[in-house]
Amino acid sequence: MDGAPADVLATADTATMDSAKSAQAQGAQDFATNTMVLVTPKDNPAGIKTFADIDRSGVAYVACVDTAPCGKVAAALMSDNKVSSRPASLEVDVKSVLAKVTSDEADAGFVYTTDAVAAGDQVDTVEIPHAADEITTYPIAPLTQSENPDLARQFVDLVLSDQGQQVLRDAGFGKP
Amino acid sequence: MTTRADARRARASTLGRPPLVLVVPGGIAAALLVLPLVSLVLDTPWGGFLDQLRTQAVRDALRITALASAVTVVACLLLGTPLAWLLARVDFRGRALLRAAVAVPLVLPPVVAGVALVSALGRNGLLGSVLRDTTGVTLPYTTTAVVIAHTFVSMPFYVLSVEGALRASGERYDVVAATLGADRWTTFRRVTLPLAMPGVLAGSVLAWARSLGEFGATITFAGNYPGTTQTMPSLIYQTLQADPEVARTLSMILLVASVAILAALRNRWLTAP
Repeated sequence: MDGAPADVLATADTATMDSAKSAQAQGAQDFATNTMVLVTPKDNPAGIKTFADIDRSGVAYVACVDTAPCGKVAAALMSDNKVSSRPASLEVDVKSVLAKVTSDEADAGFVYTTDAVAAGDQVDTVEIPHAADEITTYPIAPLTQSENPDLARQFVDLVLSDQGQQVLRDAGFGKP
Repeated sequence: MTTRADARRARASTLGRPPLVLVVPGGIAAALLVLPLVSLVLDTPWGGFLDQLRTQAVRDALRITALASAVTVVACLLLGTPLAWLLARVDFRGRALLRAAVAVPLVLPPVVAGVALVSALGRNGLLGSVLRDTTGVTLPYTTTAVVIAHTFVSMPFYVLSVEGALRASGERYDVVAATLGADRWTTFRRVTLPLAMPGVLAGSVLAWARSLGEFGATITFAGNYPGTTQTMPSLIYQTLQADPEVARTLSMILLVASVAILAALRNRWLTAP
């Protein structure tokens, strides 16, 4: 919106996509979904077996700040599950949360399923109850400012095709 | 004031006009520095200024920023002054290497400084793990960690400034003091340090300013939580993601606060000769 040149816009939440409505060449389509999980460092120093364990005293866990989409979901899940403790730190993005966990500086962190998949065996994953109630949806749209409008539309089609969807599934994304 | 203006006029008549070859590039430099600031001031929604100032998040962040920058300056005075003296006055093996190492945080991207601090003082860091095993204390996510991060990035400015002042004032007076029977500690207190005072003041202001704006190392090493580790720059950055308008207002609060303190200091201690 500040004028960065682009052909296609894909966003991590529908609100951001809506704010760019005027720039879309055609309506945005949802191409993937994501849910949150709790990850712990491989050796799980705090011995976190279930989600409720983050409420034990002495457990340092991190989440995104609630001005970021990943923070809104984490905050909703904490309230859904009646977590009474507070995170040790509110990171500006989900990669920073993951970094805190993989470097063993936090006992647990709220990340997306895809981040847990990407981190592979550096982390252990713990399911979060009610995570299915807080699904993140990713929309994609070609932009009017594109200098290659055909190519932009073809790319969107590819992302939505079976081939594109299989790539997203392998990375841990859910069906739109 | 008339005397100062007279002096200026007298100097101008003997030295001649300032040459364009210096005036033009100087003007460009000034424009580059001033223009973005003026734009920021003009673009700020001032209506929300006082409302923002009253929110708990802003007050907490201002408090942490003020505390961290003040403690950083004190840490620089207490630890940085002796280090600058060692580098300027004592001949020891590896001095050149140490001086280079002291300057490294100047060129380090702040985020890298944060990663370095995590690997040294994080709970699994070189020193941090020892600290945790022996005392149970962990530094990340505490206000202490904020101060450590700020001191790490600010100290080089202070040390280089003071070391420069110590070298410029030379060792002659030290030697005279020694021949008059002063031991080295007395010489340091009564002769060396007073001569280096302009460097101490300039270095303190530089370190304080660097600490005010510090963001990358702090958020990487100390984290970001309102009331314990969230400084004004961290708050501004996270607000920028959600509401750029409010972020501008918050930037103004930090800017106004720093300029006010700088102006107050200038009147008291930093008056140019």
